[in-house]
Amino acid sequence: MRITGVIQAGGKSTRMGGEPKALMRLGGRRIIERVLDAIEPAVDEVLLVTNTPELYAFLRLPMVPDAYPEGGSLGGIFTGLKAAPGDAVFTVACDMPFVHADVARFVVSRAAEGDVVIPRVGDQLETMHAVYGKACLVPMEERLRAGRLKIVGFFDRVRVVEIAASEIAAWGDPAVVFMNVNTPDELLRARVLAGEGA
Amino acid sequence: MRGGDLVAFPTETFYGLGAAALDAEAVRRVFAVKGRPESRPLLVLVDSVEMVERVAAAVPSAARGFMARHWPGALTLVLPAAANVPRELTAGTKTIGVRWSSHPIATGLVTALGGPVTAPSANVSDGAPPTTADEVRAYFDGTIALVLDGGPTAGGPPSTVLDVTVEPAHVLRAGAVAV
Repeated sequence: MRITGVIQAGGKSTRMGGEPKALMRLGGRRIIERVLDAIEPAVDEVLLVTNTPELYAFLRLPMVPDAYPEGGSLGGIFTGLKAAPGDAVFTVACDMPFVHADVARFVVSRAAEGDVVIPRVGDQLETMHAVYGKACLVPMEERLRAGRLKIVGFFDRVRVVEIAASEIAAWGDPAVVFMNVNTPDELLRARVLAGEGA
Repeated sequence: MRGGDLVAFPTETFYGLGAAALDAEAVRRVFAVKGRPESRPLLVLVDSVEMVERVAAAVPSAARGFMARHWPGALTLVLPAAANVPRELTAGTKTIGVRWSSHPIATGLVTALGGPVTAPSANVSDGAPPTTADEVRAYFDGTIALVLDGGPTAGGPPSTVLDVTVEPAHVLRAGAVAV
């Protein structure tokens, strides 16, 4: 089974303090480079979904524009899945500084078990750290065209396999592995977690 | 292809012969180079349900169920053709066969063109359907613009063809997908 890694760098407001958050540095590297380094060994190739390719050209990744710019995260996941050469995509967001290579590899290793393979932490499904198979395309497209953008909204149409937080806890605190940075406070917290001090 | 040229490309079964499906002149060229009787319609590839709705006069709910279960994949659905579909494509049947291929190059070509692409197998009328770019070139060297070489394809049975203009749906050709 061929799995394409997809980094989501779309969305409308990805700036924080004037700079796109994925390009902010943490532990000496840009957040998006940390994401790429973590997922690249787990997948067959990586592509990037973005409407601002000029910002990410330095990564030298294939890039696709978001097919549903008003479609929120669901539009980005759909876009990556549609463009992916693989049978399924492992989708992550560009602003998750602590994506862990072993957790990525573990989730990808379970890809064949369902149309969606997704970690659950408490009552939260980690939709931006999950595998989506091509069978999701038609149900996703229906939802996007109806303007119903909740990612989990199509899950009743496909086979969903959940990965319990306990299965990945050996590699790190799930709350950290899946965290993203949306605000200056979250970036500060990430810097503390990355050992940079405050 | 926008200028009417033909391009061969890999699918999950055989190499297909692609023309812009809504370009009647390009579709005529497909029949001409294949030496195919014009009484037989051509199926087309799409890359979305939205694109199906551009070429089908109606999409019955049963068809949507088959799409959700089997697309992308080797299932061709026969639907009533929209008025803008060239007669050359439907061969006067007033229906159109559509499918969303699981092959990234086939679907990438549809996406790049932004419209449906014809996909009969890329062989002359009595020839065996090709599974390599070399076999395509042996048939069509000099007569088509380009062969997209995606390596050997799987071959095997062709796509299943299911008529969803009738109820219950009726299998016109048994193939790669069991329905």
